[in-house]
Amino acid sequence: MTAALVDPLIDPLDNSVNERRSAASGRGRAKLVVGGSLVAAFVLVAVFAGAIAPHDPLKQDLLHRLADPGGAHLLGTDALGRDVFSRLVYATRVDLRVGVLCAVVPMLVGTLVGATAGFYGGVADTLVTRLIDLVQSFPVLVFFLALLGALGIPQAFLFLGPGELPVVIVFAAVGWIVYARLIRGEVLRVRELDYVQAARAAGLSRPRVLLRHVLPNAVNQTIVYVVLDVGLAILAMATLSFLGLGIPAPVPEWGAMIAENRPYFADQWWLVVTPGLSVSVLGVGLALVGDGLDDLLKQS
Amino acid sequence: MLQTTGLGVKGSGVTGLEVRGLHVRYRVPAGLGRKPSYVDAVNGADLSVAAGSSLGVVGESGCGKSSLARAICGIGPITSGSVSVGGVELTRRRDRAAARRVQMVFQDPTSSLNPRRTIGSMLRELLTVHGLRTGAAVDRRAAELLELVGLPASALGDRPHAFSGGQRQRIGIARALALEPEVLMADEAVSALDVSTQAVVVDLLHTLRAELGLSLVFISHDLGVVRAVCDSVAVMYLGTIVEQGPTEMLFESPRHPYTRALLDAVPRIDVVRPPGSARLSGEPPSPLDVPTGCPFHPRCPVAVARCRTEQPVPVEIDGQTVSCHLWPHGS
Amino acid sequence: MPATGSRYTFVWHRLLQSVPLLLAVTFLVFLITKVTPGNPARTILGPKATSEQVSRLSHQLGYDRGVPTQYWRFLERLVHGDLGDSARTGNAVTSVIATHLAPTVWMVVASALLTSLVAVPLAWAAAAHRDSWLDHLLRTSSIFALYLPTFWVGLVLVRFVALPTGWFPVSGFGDGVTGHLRSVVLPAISLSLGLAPVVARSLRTAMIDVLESDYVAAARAAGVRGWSLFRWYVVRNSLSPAVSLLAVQIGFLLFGVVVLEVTFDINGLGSELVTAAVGKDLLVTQGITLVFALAVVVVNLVADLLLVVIDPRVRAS
Repeated sequence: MTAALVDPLIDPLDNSVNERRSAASGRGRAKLVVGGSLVAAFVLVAVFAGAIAPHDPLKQDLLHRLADPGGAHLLGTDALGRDVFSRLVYATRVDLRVGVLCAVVPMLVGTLVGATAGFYGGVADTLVTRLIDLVQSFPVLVFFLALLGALGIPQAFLFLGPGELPVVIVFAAVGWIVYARLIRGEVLRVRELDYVQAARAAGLSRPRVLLRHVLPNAVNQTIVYVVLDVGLAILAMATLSFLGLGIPAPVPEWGAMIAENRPYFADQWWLVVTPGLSVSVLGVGLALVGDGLDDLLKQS
Repeated sequence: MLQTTGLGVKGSGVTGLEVRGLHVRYRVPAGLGRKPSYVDAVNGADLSVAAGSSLGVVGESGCGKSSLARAICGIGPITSGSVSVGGVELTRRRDRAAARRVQMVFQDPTSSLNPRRTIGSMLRELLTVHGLRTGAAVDRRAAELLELVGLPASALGDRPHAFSGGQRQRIGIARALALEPEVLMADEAVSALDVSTQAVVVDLLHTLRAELGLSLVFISHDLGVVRAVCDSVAVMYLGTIVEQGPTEMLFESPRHPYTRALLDAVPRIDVVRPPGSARLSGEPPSPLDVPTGCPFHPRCPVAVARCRTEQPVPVEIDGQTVSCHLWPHGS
Repeated sequence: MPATGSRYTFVWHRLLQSVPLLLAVTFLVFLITKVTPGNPARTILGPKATSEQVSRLSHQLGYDRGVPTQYWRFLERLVHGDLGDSARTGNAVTSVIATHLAPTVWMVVASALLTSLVAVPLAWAAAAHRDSWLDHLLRTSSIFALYLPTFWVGLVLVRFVALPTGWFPVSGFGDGVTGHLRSVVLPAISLSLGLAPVVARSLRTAMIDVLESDYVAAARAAGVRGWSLFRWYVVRNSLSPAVSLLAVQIGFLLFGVVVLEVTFDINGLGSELVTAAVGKDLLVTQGITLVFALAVVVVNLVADLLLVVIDPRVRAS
């Protein structure tokens, strides 16, 4: 949702189509390849964390605190003697999981609401429009911070680790509105197209027209957004964890790692630099994928 | 060939499409605190088209042709009046069986086909949802429909972008025919095509109408095409049908000044335009602000004082119906 | 309608529109005390409070009533300037806000100024020289900038600039105007490093729209060239998108300030908010969130009213 909130600032809304038509397809493919490889690398690391990480990310070794990189510890150890590389690897798993959920859950809810509002109109439509106005003049991330504080940090839940559930809930509670706006606008546009009118004239039921004729042609922008959104959600979650409000210690999470290693930054700079780079590189990978998809979708 | 006239069904006596007193009124929202205004897109239209015959609806853009078409197809609002097919009234909300009796061929062959669906899946959806075919017969029928419009069965696996404009329009016709409608509505169905393709598609519509016994409503601003295809013609101006009648009669002896002006505006090489003949001047007034009395009076070369205040009622003269104060008594 | 009349009408409509918005915003802020698990009065008073104290506060805040009553009580107290007391220190939330406001205002103003100072010329240059290396650089950097964690940029600046050179304080708000100024330089740079390319990029798009418009073409045909074309046509007509853009960004800017106050140990509203949120000091959390929320509403309102002054077309619509 953060992607859509930054709204006019992100690429997909740059409507200078003519300027980009030419060569956009080739550029789009190149972006997809570069971004896709970056993202794929992170996904592989997350999936095979157990095989890649040489040490237990939670195993303390107070005899080898703040060890320099090299030897048994590729990136050295932190203040509790934990292997930093292993923590980075396992953090990939946490950050990707929560980032994907924080983007996909609001997308699903928002698509449902937005499609209904746009296609059927009425009260739902008015409500969605008003809520969007509200979200746009509200410091959403500051609100997230306050809500997470009030919610507190609970234990693990189902497949979610400690602190992950409230983050997903808070993102979904606001994020769906932005997706609803996006889908609503597209549905309003597509439902007037002749092929939808033809489907209606053929006596197809309204849910059928919506699901099979309107929605498939209304989701392009949403697909681009959700990709960008995963990166922005990870960024926001890392920031909140850095502040002590997202994922709690001792779970390995990039933002939390920066916070816990901060006191040793002056001498062991890699302790802080590497988790931050991870956030940025994954984010840029996702942005390239989103941007490339956008170029290709505009092309077709 | 069946014989029809503007009013009622003569000849075969098979009822096709009957439209009575059709009104379509749109609400135009105004700004804060201001009263909304209304547009009468269709103002009491009466039409009838026998099975197997065709009616052309002509008029300038914005005259309400498309609103009329959409209302008849059940995809646009109907404020009052009735639409019946085969003697059965079809309301705005139609069930599946009612909906399939009137089908439409759209103007823009690009936007009228879902870009994400193959032609086959589109046709199969229609056939199965309506229960017209089952099992293997579905695919056979889909291929048959394409053959009917002159496309190979191999086209079933392709998406719309693989086809030219004329081919897409054929697919649009096949889609409409899939539901075995009694009335086929063609809303400017050839105006987006180039001239040579136009002729082919017009021919196709013409043949299909005769072969399948369809009532064809052919909406166009192109008088030449209408004359070639249609048995009768209705002329619309600002939501009102000002004149209708059998094609040849209407083209040979137009009675409404607007019809005359429209015909005069068609460039012809066989006729030397007499000096001082009526030419249509200016744009039609905004549908938001329809003139009082006869809607045509501000542009009418022969308007009299009465035209400004009193709306003329339709009268029948030798099988032609005309709404004009010049023809006060009928035949 | 006469021009002046419609201008006032616009202002009135805009002000009236703010009323439901304010209600909605205060309701959201009110919800902060509602989402906490268990009895919020217990959370507010802390573990040392007796059960009598808890039930008394529950009654006073209306927690024994329905949600509408509770919200109404909240609004009533708000109108009287009563935001409750801190659970940790017992100080009134309003005085907590008052004592921590100044550093935050410094941070916000410095970041907004720096972001505009970087973004506006960058956008002009990129729009004037489309598809130049600068244009491409802006496009690429705006993608990268979006994914830079501001707090991490701040830390990196401290480690690799402030520590080796000693030009800027590593933490704290300093003393006197020069001290304050020196302290907000690095936070402002951290924030605008992320924000400026993003703002510049959309501003560039707005300017290109202006450059491609018929009236600029007409001016060019009439011999208006170079700087005067830019100054009188492009700048004037891209001002309103610039103002709207910055207004849209204010929410993100505020969050950035909160994060950077923690990063640079500047004791403003932001770091106070984070301390309160982490320590479950509900009323302080609520009070400071309200300040940030109202700031966004006010900035958007001012931006809209400014647009009327800048752009006569807004009045017409």
